[in-house]
Amino acid sequence: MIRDVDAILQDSDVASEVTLDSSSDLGRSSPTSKGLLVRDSNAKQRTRRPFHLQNAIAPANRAESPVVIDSVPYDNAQEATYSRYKYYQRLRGPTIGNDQALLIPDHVVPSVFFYPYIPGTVPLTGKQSSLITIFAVWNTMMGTSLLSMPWAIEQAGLVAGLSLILVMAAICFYTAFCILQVYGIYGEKENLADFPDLCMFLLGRVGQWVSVLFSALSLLGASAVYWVLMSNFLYHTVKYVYDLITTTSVTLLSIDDDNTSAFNLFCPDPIDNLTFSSLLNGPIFQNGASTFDKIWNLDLTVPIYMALLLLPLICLKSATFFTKFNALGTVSVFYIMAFVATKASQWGVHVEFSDTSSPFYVPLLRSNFPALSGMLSLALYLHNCVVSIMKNNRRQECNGRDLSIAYILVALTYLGIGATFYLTFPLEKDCIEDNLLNNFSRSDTLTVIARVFLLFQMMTVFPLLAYILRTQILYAFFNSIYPSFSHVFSLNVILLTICVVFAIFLPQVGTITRFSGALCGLVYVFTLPSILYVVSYRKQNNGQAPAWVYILHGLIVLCGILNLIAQFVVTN
Amino acid sequence: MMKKKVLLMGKSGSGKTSMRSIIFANYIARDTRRLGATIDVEHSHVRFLGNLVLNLWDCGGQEAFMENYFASQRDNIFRNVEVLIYVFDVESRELEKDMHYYQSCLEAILQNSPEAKIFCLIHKMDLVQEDQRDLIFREREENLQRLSKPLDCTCFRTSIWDETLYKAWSSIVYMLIPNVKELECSLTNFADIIDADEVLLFERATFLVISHTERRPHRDPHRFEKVSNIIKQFKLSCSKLAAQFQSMEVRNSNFAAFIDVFTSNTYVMVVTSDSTIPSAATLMNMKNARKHFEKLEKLSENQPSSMGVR
Repeated sequence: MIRDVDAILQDSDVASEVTLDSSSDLGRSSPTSKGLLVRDSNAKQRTRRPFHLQNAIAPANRAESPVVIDSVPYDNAQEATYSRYKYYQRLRGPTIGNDQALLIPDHVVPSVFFYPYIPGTVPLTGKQSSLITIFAVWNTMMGTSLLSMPWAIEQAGLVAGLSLILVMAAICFYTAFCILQVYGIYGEKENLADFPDLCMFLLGRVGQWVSVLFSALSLLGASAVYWVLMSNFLYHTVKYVYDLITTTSVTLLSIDDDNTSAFNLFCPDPIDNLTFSSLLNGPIFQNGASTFDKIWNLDLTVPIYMALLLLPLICLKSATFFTKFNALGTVSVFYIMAFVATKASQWGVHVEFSDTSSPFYVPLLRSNFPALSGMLSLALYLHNCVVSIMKNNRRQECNGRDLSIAYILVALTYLGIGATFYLTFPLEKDCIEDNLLNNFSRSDTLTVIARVFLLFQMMTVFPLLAYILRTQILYAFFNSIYPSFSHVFSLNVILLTICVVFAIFLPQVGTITRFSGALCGLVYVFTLPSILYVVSYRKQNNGQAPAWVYILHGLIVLCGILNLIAQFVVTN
Repeated sequence: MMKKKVLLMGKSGSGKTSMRSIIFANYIARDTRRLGATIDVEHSHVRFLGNLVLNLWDCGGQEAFMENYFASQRDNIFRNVEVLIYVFDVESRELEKDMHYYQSCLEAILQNSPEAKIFCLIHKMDLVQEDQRDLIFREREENLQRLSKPLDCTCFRTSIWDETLYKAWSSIVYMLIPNVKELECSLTNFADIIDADEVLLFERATFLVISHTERRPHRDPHRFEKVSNIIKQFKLSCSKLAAQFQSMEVRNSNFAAFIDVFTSNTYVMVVTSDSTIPSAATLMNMKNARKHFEKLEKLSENQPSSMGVR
């Protein structure tokens, strides 16, 4: 009996909240004729917040002391009004529709819920202007791919690289726009939150599982990339500080090539994939290595130290603390842009188009161009949150235009940074590293700053990535985002192990990015949006669709598949 | 023996259906903005105060048609009336007409049920500015009492958005209970005996407070209405499962509250802050008190009706 009571009481409270939706909340004063006309126009224009009193943790003896909620003392009369409001909402029942009866009028709602009218201002609508939306889209897409863009363009050749960027941007924009269109048809009606829900609605359980799986894979790829970069930055930073402390002489630490020491630039040895044999021969176990180098080693120990450092951070229950550092991401992008611009202006242009033996030879097309397309699938990837971002656009009819402008800006940014670095690089072009900071000597001031700053910024983003990955997986398997500490802990340990393994045995950002980009892009950028569009088109047109719909989207899916296959053909 | 009626009358759009829905916890009828008057009598199948049935009538609206219908059905409507509750919309622009219809109803009452109690509710007072409310109410009250002679009418000012509606209906119910003073004495004794902080007596159908004893002061004067609203919402949920609400016990470290059936017309709520008293003890006491109160109620039913014109 008690359990039934709990269930029923729970239901009644929930029901009274659930019937509170934004349109029914605006009441008119009385069900007389004058109330009728103003209602519909007001539905769009909200001048007050929804009427809701939080449940306060009441002090021990409520009978005597007043309840203070949110440091605003709600007096008895307001609580009584709220009690009436909830009861009358319940009485309106499920079938009341647009009827005015028993709706709370504005003059009864406590004044704290109204927005003050300041002449000349626009009331808070929660919508943002086109400019802000464009910036939000640009900001979301800009990421660490910026560090790898010069390498990727180098892999593709100049003209192939530039045109590939533009083509990929066009395709990605088109598929993102498809998502927006399909969401526009079904999203509001069915109350879907974002792309994965859309998949679930139109494609069923299979669609949902596929989207969760590949989303997890892409997050895993991103985590591995972050890990490699973070270990790299941490290693170099600490080594720099250590060298600064231990060397007594003021001269610059010796670098390999003298003629480039002016630029603090060098061509690092190609990294061989670490195998156990090379591990055994490596610096840790070599007799000649210093103690420091044995302890603090890029290949083996630093990734593990990072794991110990970050494990407590990612086991936190809520990651909202880290969202406060979101602004750092934008700053870091601008810093990289400024960094590349500075270096490029120092170096000047070094290009050579015809002489293939020159170190500055810039081929127009190389057979490794899939590396660029794979990387771009990840660099231009926005599709799982494009709906959430564009939903806040003030003028929804401009969504297509704003999204296209944003994509153009992103493509230009990548193009600009990548091409600038590539064309001005004063050493052999094939020395360009997939993490461009690796080309700079440890003691170059700008690089040191870049590494420290990016390290800090990534350390605030990594817990967010881990959190999203964790919640997606746990929710898919256990239907709860925090089943228990042991679940979360074991998942985090697995995640970190994978990251550390990548950092030790495959610390090549370019490889990880292009593979995970091509794989996840195949599903999220090429296939799913196309399928969704075709399914929705058929639904709207009674199961019929003209040939061009199938052909166009079939081609897009084919591109995705070829993209993935081509990744295996790329030579390092 | 025909059931006695409570007539709820007033102009179309004055708020009767909303009022009924709120007091009796019914889901509100679909089209409260009816274009025509209510022709059918709306029965609420609720035993109100034991033997009363609520009838809801629109007065006025479509002039000639209404007058004719009214005239032919008059005797039917106004026979066996225990209580007439007439609702006036304070915003109405046709005061003369309202008074005209009111007087017609009074004439009918005088002819058919001269013993009926008359209550006038000046409704939708929330639409009047706060500083004007007393003035306007007093003006209307004087007017109505003058017009109602030789019958006596009790006036209330009400609004569904403050406590006045609940209080008005509670007062009405209080005046309808035959031996309410004795009930109150017994209630006070009962509270003292079981050492409760507060004991409330609710009417069964509407959960209007009939009487209460407060042994420990409480700062919230709106608590009766809030408890009533909560229980009515719970009853709505119960009705979805075709279940009847019977009793409730709410307990935490600071207090224990028991709501249970008491007599055939009432519910009782006992609140005690002494958490050492086991529930079984309080429930046992309530069960024993029930017999005494039922005897009191039986006595009043068997007495000749003490309800006359106030």
